Amino acid sequence: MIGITRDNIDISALIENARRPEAGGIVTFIGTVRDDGFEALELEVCEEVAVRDLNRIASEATEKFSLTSVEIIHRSGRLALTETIVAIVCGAAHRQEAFAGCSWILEEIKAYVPIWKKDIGDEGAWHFQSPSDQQQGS
Amino acid sequence: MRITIICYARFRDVFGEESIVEVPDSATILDAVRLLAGRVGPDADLLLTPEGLIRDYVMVVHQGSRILPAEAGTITLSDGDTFTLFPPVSGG
Repeated sequence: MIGITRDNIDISALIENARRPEAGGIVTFIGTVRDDGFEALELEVCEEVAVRDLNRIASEATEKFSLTSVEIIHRSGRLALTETIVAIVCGAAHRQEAFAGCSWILEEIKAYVPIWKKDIGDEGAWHFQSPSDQQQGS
Repeated sequence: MRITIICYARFRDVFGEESIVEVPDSATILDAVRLLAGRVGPDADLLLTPEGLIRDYVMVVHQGSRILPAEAGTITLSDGDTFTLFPPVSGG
């Protein structure tokens, strides 16, 4: 399952999808909204490009790390503190591949997928991580 | 030619969600971005370097393909074209 959703993410369902006879390990990463002094987080997504990117990342990770399954669901819309932003579930024959694949997928999402965070509080600010604008970054 | 430029996130706040720019025949993506940037005063430097080139961190999508900022001056537009500008991403 690869996609973007405005609904809560059912992490148990993702893990169940990863259970296969050939998988000896399932690694799950759950990104959550941290309290950095704001009330909520708004996630904006260019869904057309993002879904294409997530599928590309899943395919590359499957090949690169010999994964038996990849599940990636990313939220959009407004999220409260502690809510799940992203869930990544990787199955592999052995734990090393599952851990490595899960970590690689997260870094690819952070680098390439058109998703943006905006703090919701007194004065919302986009997380904007350009080299010349580090003070705005998360 | 009329070109539509769509911006997301912080770029949308500064440059507008959907902007129409009028460019001459044979204009490139870079030409259109310069016109858009020229509408907002000092905030133009979010998109352009002091030399007038598109900053490396800007993601440009044209006809479903990502365009490297360095290639924007070589891609010729057609009347009615649309392209999208993304600021650096922050998902995950």
